[in-house]
Amino acid sequence: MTRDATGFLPDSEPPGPASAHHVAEHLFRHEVAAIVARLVRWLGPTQLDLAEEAVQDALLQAMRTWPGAGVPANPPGWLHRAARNRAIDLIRRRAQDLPPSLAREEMLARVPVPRTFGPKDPALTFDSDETAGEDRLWILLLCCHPALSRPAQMAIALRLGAGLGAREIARAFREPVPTIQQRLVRARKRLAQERLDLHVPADELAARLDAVRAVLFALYSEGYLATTGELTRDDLIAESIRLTSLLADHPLGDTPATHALLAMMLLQTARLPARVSGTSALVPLGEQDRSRWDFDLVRMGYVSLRRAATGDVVSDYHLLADIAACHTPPDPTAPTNWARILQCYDALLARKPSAIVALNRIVALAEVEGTDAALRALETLRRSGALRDYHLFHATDAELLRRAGRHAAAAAARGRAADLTSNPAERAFITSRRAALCQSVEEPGAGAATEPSGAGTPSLVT
Amino acid sequence: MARFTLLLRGNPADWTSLSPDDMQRIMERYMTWDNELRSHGIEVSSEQLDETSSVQLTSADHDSPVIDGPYTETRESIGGLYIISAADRDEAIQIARDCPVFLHGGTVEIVRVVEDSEYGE
Repeated sequence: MTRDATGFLPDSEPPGPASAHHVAEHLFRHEVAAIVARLVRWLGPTQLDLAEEAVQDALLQAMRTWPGAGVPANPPGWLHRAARNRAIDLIRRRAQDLPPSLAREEMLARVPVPRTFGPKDPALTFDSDETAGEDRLWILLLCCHPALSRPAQMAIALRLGAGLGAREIARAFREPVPTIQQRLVRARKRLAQERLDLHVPADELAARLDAVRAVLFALYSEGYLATTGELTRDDLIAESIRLTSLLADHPLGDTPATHALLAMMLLQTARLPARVSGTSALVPLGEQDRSRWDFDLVRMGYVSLRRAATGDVVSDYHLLADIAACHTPPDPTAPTNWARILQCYDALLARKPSAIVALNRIVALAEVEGTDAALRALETLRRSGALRDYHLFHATDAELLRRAGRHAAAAAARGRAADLTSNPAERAFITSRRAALCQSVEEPGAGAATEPSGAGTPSLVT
Repeated sequence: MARFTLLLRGNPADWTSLSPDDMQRIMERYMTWDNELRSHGIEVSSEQLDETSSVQLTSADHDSPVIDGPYTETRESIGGLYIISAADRDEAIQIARDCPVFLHGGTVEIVRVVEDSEYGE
């Protein structure tokens, strides 16, 4: 048994056999978000850190006792109860430090009467999907408090709202784990200073919803192309789509921008089966078998796209969804509308300069105006120096040079690209010399995660 | 056959850096390992220990306990105790190599149990 470089076990470890010991997949991660939300509703938003500690302790307790004693009959209920008991315990211990307005008795009085869990309680509604979903949206809004910087909002929201760990968040942001850990600590401290309210003020709602969408976008991006290990993380993709559709269905979040974000996610995801070959290798865009698309998702994507097409605001997500739709026409035999894709990238760039978007625009430019025009644009981008260490810049360079017949220069660029990528599947793809132009520049989160304003940084070319 | 104790040592401070997914994966590995030991008749008994609760008495100050658990961040403490049966030390080592404790930076100490019968020979 070996540990990977970061000291944690790889994601590909096989799960245990299905038996009395079976635990639902991602149970811990899903319950973290639900339990934190529930505890904060009980105890008030000022107790966010206490709620988080109580949940962590409950998971530890499960980790210690379930292997020996067996998995309880109702694992989510067990975790909720353990976390609640631990929260009460922590409140008692911290009693002296509580804010005066929240005397210990008052706080305890706000904890509901204990419920019973387990098979004797068939009417268990503790974690019904409806209220749990509402709670999770609410936690996301809380984490997107304006007192926090956008990176801090995203880190704490991914931690508490999506149940990711510091290492996983670090991957999404392409930053060192200690940086993320410090950011989380500071965010918690900052939130603890705020007089957090259960109700988001109406004049703040729009800004907070923007932040929530940026968080969901980052989550999707990390799933779409995981930075290490496997090619995609289906669980993160599923989670981001789940939360985004919750937001889209909720009166607060039911806005064109949310529907556009959801449409983008659904259409991108619909093409995933064609994007990855049976041997877990990336398939170049031009070679992808469109019959392998998930056509249910395509249909759902277009439903969301229509719902996004109301009102008169065109958000960045509208442009991204438009690009995704160009790559996923309702009729799979229809050609890709590269001219429209180019227009969308132009529009994104006009809103906010971004080297990553510029790189993606060059891919579309090559299709519309030819290789020479694309190479000239690439030289301009190269001189800016912004993407010097970005592997997909060099992969794009390599493909354009190959098309221009400059094979030696192409090989050198391909070598630089392979040296710079951290995803083994991608590295294999680049070095396999099959790096078709379009495929090589897809990485939706590449810019979004490091520039987490969510505005116009992603590239969504396949 | 002989009996061996496996003392699993971990660092409680390490747990706080694990994500929920990490924790669940590690827990499932312990379940699988435990299952396998049992189904192959290797495991004689086992206990999970709460390493954060550990208190150490030393001969120097045995009447005023030194509480080791929560105050020593870097120190490893015993989190699990297994008694297994194995033909010899090498086989016990082989069995211990698969212990999930290594997934979270822990160690295993293997000690043979002295059987009553040994005194009679």
